[in-house]
Amino acid sequence: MTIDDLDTAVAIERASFPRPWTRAMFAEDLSRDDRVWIAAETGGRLCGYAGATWHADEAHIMNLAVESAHRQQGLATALLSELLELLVCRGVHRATLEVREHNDAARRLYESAGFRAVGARPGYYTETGEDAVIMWTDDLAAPGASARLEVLGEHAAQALSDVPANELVLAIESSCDETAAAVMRGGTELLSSVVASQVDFHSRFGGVVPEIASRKHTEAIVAVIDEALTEAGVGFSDLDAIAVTYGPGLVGALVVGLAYAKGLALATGLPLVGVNHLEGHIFANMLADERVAPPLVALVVSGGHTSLVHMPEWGVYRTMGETLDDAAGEAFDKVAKFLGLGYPGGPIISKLAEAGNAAAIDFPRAMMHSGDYSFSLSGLKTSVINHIRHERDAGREVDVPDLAASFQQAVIDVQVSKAVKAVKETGVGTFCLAGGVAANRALRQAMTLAMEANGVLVSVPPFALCTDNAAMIAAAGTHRLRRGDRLDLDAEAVPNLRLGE
Amino acid sequence: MKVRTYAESTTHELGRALASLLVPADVLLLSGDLGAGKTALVKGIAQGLGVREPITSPTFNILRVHPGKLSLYHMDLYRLENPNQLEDIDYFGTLEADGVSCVEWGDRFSQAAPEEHVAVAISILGDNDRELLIEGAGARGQELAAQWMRAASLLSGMEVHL
Ligand SMILES: Nc1ncnc2c1ncn2[C@@H]1O[C@H](COP(=O)(O)OP(=O)(O)OP(=O)(O)O)[C@@H](O)[C@H]1O
Ligand SMILES: [Mg+2]
Repeated sequence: MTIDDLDTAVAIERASFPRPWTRAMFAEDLSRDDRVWIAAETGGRLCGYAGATWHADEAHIMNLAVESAHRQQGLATALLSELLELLVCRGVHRATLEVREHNDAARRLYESAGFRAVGARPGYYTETGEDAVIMWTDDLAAPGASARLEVLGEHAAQALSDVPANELVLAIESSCDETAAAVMRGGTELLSSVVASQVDFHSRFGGVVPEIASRKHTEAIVAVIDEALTEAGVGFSDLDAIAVTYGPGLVGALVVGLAYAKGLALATGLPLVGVNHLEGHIFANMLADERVAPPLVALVVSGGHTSLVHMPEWGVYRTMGETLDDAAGEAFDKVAKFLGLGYPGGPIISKLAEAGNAAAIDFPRAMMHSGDYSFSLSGLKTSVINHIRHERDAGREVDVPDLAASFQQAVIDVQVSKAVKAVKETGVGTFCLAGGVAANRALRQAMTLAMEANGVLVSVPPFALCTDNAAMIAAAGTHRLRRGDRLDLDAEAVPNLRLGE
Repeated sequence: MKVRTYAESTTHELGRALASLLVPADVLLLSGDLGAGKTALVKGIAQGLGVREPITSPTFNILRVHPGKLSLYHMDLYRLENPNQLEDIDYFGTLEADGVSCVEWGDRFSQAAPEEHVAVAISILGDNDRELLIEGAGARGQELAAQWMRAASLLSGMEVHL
């Protein structure tokens, strides 16, 4: 750890402790001889550190922090283990530290390294009114201790293992209808992205048409991955990791991609990274616009999802609200179907709406003023159907463009109002419109206007990245890879996986 | 047998009345136009089964599994294009699993009907007015349908024709 790291260190401090170290404290401490400081980095950037002072055979652990996005990956364990080892080399046998009473994660960490609580300084943390628990370990140099350190270290080595900065990742997506694979370098450089339904399978692979079901995914997956690797000009041996969608979605479809990815990881020894499909959609926005980064709010709208997600920092997600019944894309499809307009309904309705009057029919804006972030679209679907029924019963022709425009406007009004509320409440400066329905031009426009009026950066991905694809899974997967996230080889698909769980 | 409901909440109540009668491997096949109230009925059943999470439309996902006193397998055949796909989504395996299956658009393929089931066909009679035609198939299906309708005839707000 050097002076150059201090800005990052101060930021991590502020996010970690009620009484953070200041820049001056770090600067003064780093310059002293009776101190040991070690740092953890990812991608050349500081993400954690630990420091101690020692005298004769006693040490005082002064500080240990890990950036929140990198927690729970064994980094803290690694840092502590490394630090204790360095202290032992300097002749230290005993070590002490103070920990905030309710910092359970930290207390568990220290206990696992052999520290025991021996007393407290009541009300030491005046900022929170908590006690400082004083912990000691007395046998750092004892025979058992080195074994313990090694176990700690082993965990840690995995978390700290250097992932190359331009890692080559193969990503697989099969959460619902599409079987897709992509190869990406360094989390942004897309070398190939293949979606089964877009491949001319008939001529190349003998007529496999991928669709809904798992059997079709099974038939398509080998060919899709082959194609992705060939197009990228790489082989399995060039890869650094495999990323795969493990939820949410249709279980039968998810397992196909997951089983293939696990098999590949087992055969090649490559790390396996699990990605949430919705997280993938958010990363599609980041791929398209490099200014997009947390803190942000994203609205993921597609045939199967209507979710408002808060991403306060890298790797952290909070689902603010979802649909209670139908998804937005589903409502478009069903209204189009009821009017006999064909499938998929989104593009058809939005095209018709251009020629219609959005104020012609006053459809309900369900949940618009509910005060929360839940959506409901089943009532709107029913209102549209009722309207058509009434017109037909009255012997009138339904004005299809007016109906399309009015329906679309009702959807948009609610989405925009909830998204704006979410952005204001969280105070973020960036908003992502993601998922298949993000291709709807009127929705893009309305969202952009409303957000810009609030000084918020709006990101809408290009059409190819709106619909399901594996490029977005590769981007999200690379990020998780760097954070040290790994999926166990016995992990199962999670059909109702929620972001942030 | 027929039931007429005049509000979504009554359809929910009808579903709740069914929930307490269900045993593992019972199958409900739901049919009726878009917006008829298939999902609405399943919402009521889920409430009765003590399902905590919201019942959302399974149209896109095809199958949603909700844990409750009994597991609820909420399926939707709307997007399937041919009966072969029933095998692909492990439809028959799900019906036989240790839970209750509610299948929207369950009349889409004749192959989707197991021997024992209760069929519910919902018609839209007015904005808030629905008629549910209920028919049991097989010994268990008939027994369940009859029990359900007897329970429903004790409830207010709906008209039951046994
Ligand atoms: N008596 C009633 N019972 C049930 N639903 C009713 C009733 N009256 C009005 N409704 C309305 O009808 C709609 C039923 O929608 P629902 O999504 O349950 O239909 P569905 O049959 O599942 O449609 P889909 O084919 O799209 O799956 C809701 O908007 C509900 O409020
Ligand atoms: Mg439904």
